[in-house]
Amino acid sequence: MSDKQKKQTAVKLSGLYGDYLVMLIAPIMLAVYQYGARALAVVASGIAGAVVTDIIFCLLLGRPFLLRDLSNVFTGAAIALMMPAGVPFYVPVAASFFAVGIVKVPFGGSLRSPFVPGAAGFAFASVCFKEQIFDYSYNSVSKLMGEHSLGYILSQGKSVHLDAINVLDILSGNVAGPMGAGCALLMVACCAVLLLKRKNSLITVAGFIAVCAVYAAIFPRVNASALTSVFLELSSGTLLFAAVFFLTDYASVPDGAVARLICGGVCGLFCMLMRTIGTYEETVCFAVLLANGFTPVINSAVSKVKGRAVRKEAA
Amino acid sequence: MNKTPSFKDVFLKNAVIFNPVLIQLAGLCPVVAASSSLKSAVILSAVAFAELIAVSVIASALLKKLSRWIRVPLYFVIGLVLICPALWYVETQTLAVLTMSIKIFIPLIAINSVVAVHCEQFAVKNDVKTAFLSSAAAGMGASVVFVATGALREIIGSSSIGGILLNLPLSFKGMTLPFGCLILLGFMSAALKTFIGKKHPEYSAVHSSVAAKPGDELNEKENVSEKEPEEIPLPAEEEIQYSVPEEYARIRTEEEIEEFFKSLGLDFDEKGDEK
Amino acid sequence: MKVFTELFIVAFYTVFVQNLVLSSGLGISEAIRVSAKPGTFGRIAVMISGFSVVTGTLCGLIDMIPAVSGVSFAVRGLIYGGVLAAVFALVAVIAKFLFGTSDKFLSTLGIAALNTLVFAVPHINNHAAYSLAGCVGSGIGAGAAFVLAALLINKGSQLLKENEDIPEVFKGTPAMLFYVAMISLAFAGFSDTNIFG
Repeated sequence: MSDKQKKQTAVKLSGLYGDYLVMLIAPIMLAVYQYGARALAVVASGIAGAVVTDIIFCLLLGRPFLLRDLSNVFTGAAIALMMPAGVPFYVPVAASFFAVGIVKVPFGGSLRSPFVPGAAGFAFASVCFKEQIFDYSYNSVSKLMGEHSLGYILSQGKSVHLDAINVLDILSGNVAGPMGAGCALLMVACCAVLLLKRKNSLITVAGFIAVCAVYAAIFPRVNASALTSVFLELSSGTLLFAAVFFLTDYASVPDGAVARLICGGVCGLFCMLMRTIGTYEETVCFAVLLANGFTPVINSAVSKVKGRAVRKEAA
Repeated sequence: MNKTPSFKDVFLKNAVIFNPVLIQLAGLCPVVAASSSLKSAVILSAVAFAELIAVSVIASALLKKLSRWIRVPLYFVIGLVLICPALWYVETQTLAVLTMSIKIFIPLIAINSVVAVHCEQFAVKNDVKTAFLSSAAAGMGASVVFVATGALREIIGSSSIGGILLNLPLSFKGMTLPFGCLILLGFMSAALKTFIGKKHPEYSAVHSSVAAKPGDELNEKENVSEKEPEEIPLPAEEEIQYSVPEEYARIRTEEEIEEFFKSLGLDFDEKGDEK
Repeated sequence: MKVFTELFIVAFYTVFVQNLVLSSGLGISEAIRVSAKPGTFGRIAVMISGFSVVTGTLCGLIDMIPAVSGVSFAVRGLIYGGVLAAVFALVAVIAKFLFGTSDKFLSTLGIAALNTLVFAVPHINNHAAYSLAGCVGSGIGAGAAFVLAALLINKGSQLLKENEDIPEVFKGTPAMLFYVAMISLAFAGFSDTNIFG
């Protein structure tokens, strides 16, 4: 790769992840508002873990460390925001190390990795530190349902009677849960930003949410109406956050609208299946990784079908 | 004239340069699925080592003239006949305590791909002595990986070694799962690749492909030195769908492509999406 | 209906919840090697399903014999291995002498029949105490799990081949191992326990 191309890559990296970081400011501020300075410290530890890991690997591989590569900052911050505010600091550090050292660097960087580093980092942390990752007791006295997250309530098959007040609590993230990913209203705002910046990548998100909603309506985990089930499933945990920030990932998003829609749908199906029969309360990151694995298959299948259609038309 | 290779050459080639697990990706199942502790790794590697040598020697002595499709099942049957009585003896006649997972996986070693791959690539093409040496070397190479992976997985994943607690401040449960093992193997493979690249650069090109095997380096050399320029087949008439106007046929560089699209009033990003 | 439901549930469990190849590591070497030959892995998956179903069911029937149910793991391994070898021998002889298939086809048959995945299926059936319908479902699921793994690895390896930015030290086998590791991690979302405990 020529120096010129390297520079182009660096500029794009900073622009691309700069936009994501701007979108992350609001969730970080909300986390600080709800959980205090500790939320900021957790985010900082996630970012530090990612940046230091990248520096170490750059030194080991004899590659220049690009300060403008904001993907590390984004990955570290996103991972931290999906965790509870009371999580021990080594958890986001370890997750960021995994994301950068094992998912980003060996595959040639953020623009080349077939898997979303942040999703992989969080999935790794879920497997290794299950108790710490899903312990939402920190500063949760004033929250709706106390220290129990929506994800936990749903996994126990318990119903939540919705009224105007608690609907607003749930939408604004006033429920025990991931410190920066619980506010559904903010995620909708982030979608609006993406609509302006990278509207095509939102097709994957649309496919994902549509399938999650349909699944939740058909197979509710709670003894309530289909609409309540859809509302609770979509608002719980990191579902919307991961959809907005990980499913729109530049490197792993499929080519073309149809492939993106299918990929989002596949991700949604796996996410809901894992929620229903899987081991973890939060499954969206596993589903994103699985969808990343399916992306080349979907790309290839869609291009084959398109090729056949073109040949038919030509004939 | 066939020159008998020295043990050093045989060892280097079978244990290091074409390590069965890290380079040829054979025998991953016992490592990934069952070697999550040092004890299990030592047991499985010992069984695999003994089986590989025994089957290789038998294959070299008796099975050379058979067809491949008959030989491969025979490796399995021979392995099974050797392993199961030994396991039965350990289970019933000794006081050794084996976990259920190990008891199930020991017979599975009989069908281990290290044996089939090594016997087919080496044992049936060489005399008994060379087959013995090569299988011992390959077995050692595989065993070292088994034991190192088992030890590392137990230390990192369970914070213990050989069942003795180490009281490390952190443990990563993921390392005891298959994905953790695959990551460890990935790093070990990268380290081995770097070592080979420095000490034996002639094999570097071969190791850039997945599951390289002995003989690939010869093809690689042929590709470099003797390969004729390939004739580019002309597409059949019915396959030609589009014709390119002459003024655009000269377009080669990315900048020219970009300009071409801009001249048409279209603007695309790298993914091919319209901006 | 109950039989089909059990068959489907076991097959689904074997493909996704405890994907025998990616979550459990059974037959993973073969999946990686076969994935390099995209034209063959569909055929191999069908063969694996066939051998798993037949061997698993026969072994399941043998397990019902009271004298066999309490035997040691070594004897059980020998019985299951013997059944697998016999099934392969029978199929190979029929294919060779009745249908005149080539040696190449028989070698492919050997890869499909004689691998850890197929040999592990009777052990899994016994461990999980599946009924006969469950044994059939487990066998079908094993083949489907294999084809899913081979397909994902095949497309992933093409992606890795085209990726020039992979650092030299990770090119080839290391990158492939990391790729498979990531898919395996994704399947951990369904189940994070090792097979056979």
